[in-house]
Amino acid sequence: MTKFGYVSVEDYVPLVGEFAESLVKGKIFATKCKACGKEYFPPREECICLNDEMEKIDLDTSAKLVSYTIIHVPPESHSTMAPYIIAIGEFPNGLKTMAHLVGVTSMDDLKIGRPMKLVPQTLENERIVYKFVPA
Amino acid sequence: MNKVVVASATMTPFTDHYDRDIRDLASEAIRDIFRKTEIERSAVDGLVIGSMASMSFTNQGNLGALIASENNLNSASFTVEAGEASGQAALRAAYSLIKSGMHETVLVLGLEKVTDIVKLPEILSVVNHVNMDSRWEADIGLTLASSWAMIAKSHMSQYGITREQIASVAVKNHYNATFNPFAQFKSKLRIETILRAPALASPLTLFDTCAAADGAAAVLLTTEEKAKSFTDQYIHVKGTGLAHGTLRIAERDRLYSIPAIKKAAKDAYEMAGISPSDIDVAEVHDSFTIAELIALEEMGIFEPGQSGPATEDGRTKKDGDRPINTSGGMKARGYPFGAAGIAQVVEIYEQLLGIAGERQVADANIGVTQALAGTGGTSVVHVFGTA
Ligand SMILES: [Zn+2]
Repeated sequence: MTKFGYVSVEDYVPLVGEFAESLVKGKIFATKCKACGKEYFPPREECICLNDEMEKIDLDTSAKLVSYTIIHVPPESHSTMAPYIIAIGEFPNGLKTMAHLVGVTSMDDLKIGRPMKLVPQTLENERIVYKFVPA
Repeated sequence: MNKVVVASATMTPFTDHYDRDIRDLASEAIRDIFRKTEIERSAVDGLVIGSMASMSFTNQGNLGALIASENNLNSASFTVEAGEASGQAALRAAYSLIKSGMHETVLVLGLEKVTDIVKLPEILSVVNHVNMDSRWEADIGLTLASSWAMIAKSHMSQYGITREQIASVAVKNHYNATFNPFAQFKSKLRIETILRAPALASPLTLFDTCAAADGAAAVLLTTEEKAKSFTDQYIHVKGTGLAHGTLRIAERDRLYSIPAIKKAAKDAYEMAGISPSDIDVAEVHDSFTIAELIALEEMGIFEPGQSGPATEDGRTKKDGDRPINTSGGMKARGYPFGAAGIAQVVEIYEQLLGIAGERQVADANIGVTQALAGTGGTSVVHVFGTA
């Protein structure tokens, strides 16, 4: 079974397992509180309003580049990948997340506000993550 | 109500203690307290330890029982963890134990043994997973350096500060450390050396941050009444504040400000009845150069955007008009995570008592310490005074 994350050891957590399965099918879900309507990405199983009835919703994966950095000295888990780019992207619903930015071909791809898209990417060892690509 | 004072303070040198384990470092600091302070060990009824990651670094937990028994302390003993802010969080816990009347005299020990892990990437992994959202941010290979790099870029574009101004923090802290016999680095550092060093995460280089170090620092907290029975060398703990921000950096509204610092400082100042202009000397979190600049602005010592120019102009040097990190800070005094927050108190203790030697700031009556976990997960601020 495909696991979520580069090194995460939490594959027994149901939400994370379902998230990984969904990524394998090419879908990225957020969660939404059935009581107050607040949306969460990365997904959560309980809302800050104290309600814990959540529904899965498709994330609009278009995002704008908020900030990025190029990592030259990585932690042990990413030692073979450096240098790599990590970016913060903001989605149309106002939520922001952080992920690797891949497929950059020019400095234009690194302009603040540049449209990006969040996509699943399969890694070795039956693992899967999400990454930004220029849109 | 009890007035809480710091009645003794000490630290080991901060460096790569390759030949000493976590027990040796703890014992050295504790034994020094009892050698130079006229107090019986039996009078110490509490031991609070601030340590960030002793399990990951040394495979040892429950430091309270270990250190208390190895040093013949018959005290209530436990460890406080708040990421990189663990030392200052332990101080706050000890303060409240005395203030509540539950304990009279509490030893606060900051402790970290890092270099048992010799590979930097493995140390980074521990630091990242302690101080970041492990599942959603640390997992992707984000580092604190890359987080601070994004914050630096944001601060530069918001306020127009220069890369050289950011680097001038490290130059200043290395200068201050040349006067500190306990500092890890007692050599001056040039701006060019920082800018030309290997990149960590653009725009920050290897010399914008600290080296790995081990060490311990200890302060003795007690009531003013008790302190008077054995010493006249004490300073007052006048205020404490602790606040948090989102652990995930992506969720912050702005990258160039850190609200947790502002909130912790506001609470501590209010409790102490001071304003930022009253501060004579401060030890602030400078795990990365940019962190010190933002701390000084959130603490109200400079207006937003002004700490870079002020540092470049020498105003924060030990002999400037707003002396900051007279010890050399984490950058040059050394940064064994949990120990660093207590070492900050050691410096303020010496400054306020007028025993800081060549580092002494003139007329120091109010001193402040500020700690930070990650890039704003937790901040802790304490205010100290001569009266
Ligand atoms: Zn809700």
